[in-house]
Amino acid sequence: MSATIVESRNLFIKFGSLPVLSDVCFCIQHGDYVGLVGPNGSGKSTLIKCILGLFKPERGSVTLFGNDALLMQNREKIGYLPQRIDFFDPRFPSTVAEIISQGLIASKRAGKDIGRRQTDSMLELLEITGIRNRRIGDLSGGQQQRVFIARALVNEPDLLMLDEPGSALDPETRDNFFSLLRALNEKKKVTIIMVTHDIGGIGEHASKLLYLDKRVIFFGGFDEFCRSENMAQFFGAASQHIICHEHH
Amino acid sequence: MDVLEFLSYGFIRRALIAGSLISVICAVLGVILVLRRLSLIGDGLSHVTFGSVALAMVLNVYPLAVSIPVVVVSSLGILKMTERAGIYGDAAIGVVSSVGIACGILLASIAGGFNVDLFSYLFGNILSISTAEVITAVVVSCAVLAMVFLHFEEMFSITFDEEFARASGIPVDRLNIVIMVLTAVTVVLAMKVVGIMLTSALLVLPAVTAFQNARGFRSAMLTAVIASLVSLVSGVALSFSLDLPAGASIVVINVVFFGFAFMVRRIAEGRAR
Repeated sequence: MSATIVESRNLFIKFGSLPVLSDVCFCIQHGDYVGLVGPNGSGKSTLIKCILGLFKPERGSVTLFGNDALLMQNREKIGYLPQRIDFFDPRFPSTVAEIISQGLIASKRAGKDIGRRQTDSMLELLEITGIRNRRIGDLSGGQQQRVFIARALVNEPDLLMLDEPGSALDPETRDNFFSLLRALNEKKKVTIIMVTHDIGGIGEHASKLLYLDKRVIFFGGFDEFCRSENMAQFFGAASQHIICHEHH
Repeated sequence: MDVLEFLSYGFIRRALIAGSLISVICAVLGVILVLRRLSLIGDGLSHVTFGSVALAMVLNVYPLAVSIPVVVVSSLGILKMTERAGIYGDAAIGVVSSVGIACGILLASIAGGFNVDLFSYLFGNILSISTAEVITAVVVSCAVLAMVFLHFEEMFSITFDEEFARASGIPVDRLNIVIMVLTAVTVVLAMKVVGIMLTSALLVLPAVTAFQNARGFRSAMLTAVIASLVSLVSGVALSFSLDLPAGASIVVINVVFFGFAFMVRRIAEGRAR
């Protein structure tokens, strides 16, 4: 039986008087590749932040590697790519190498020789060695996205949380990136949680689907989703057919 | 006058030692504060310093003994207002700044009006730095430099992307408090160098000078330190040789550096097009 990596129990979050997540329960096992989907405002990014321990829930709890997500100290097992790459000021003086090495802070390897070697190998892996010393604000959106993907991967995490990682990538880079994720998941058993709007496309990669709309609408395998009568009622049989057709 | 004769005066040596240390820590903290959109914190806290110096004069006690705790509490007030009360950072600085100035004016009035001492704090007098102030500058500088050296990666992380820093397990709230406390003490010390009116210049100008051409965070911090240090030393020398106010001379040289760095950037951008 595989180990539980993330467990959410009756999670309830509200901003002001508006509930954002209600009674969210699920359990993600070691080696799962979960596509987290749902409409805009369904609470996907909020859920990611709860898993990271950035939000204190009103009720319920999230455990990460068996620890309370809010109190977890050892975070070197976690890689995180935030939703938007334009959260930072383009004039911020920071080189690509400096940003990637931030991913090594949790393991206290940032700024050390071993960390520099890991940064260099990540630059090579994502084919961005040539922009190592460029200022982040001077790069294109796709190059910036690759830098932040490198920051999420550099620590060789056991759990990778990606909030819409495919945005801003050109088709070739996106395909390479998804192949890399698949290899990490299959060969190194890295657990992946990926927020995406592409409900059809995620079926190509993910082993499980978590459909969220302030509460868990569906959590399980993609084939199970396609066979589910409840989902046929929820989406309408035609929409479910289109989603599953894209998947197959 | 040669360099040795210049350095033979005790007050010049004290000014250079304390001034250099304060200019270095102002540059280091300035880079972090400007990038975190807290450029005006120096202005706000220096206004509180004005109020606290006026209070010290009413109480007839040594100004630093009153200013340091009052300004530290005010800096933490700004932090709490932005974090807990949902007030914008610049508005929180504005609130604290106005309270500082208003209290200063009221207290100065109670003390019988603005006297020479209060004016010397408003416009600074680096050449009158005492041995006790040099020792305070050394202690505070060591604390700031040790914090930045030991937590450089964490400082960079919370400055660039606070959410990622929290997700990485960095104690962001604790480090924010440390930054605010050290900024408060630095502002109080800087009033002796350039005066309350010009304190924020020591925090902001070296940083914005460095940002014109630096590619990375580390190089920005190093450039800011060099610009700040050279401005301080040349400002003191200029002031002594031409009998000009030291604080204003230091700030003007900082502005010249900024103008030069800005022009270099524009030329480089023009060539790249």
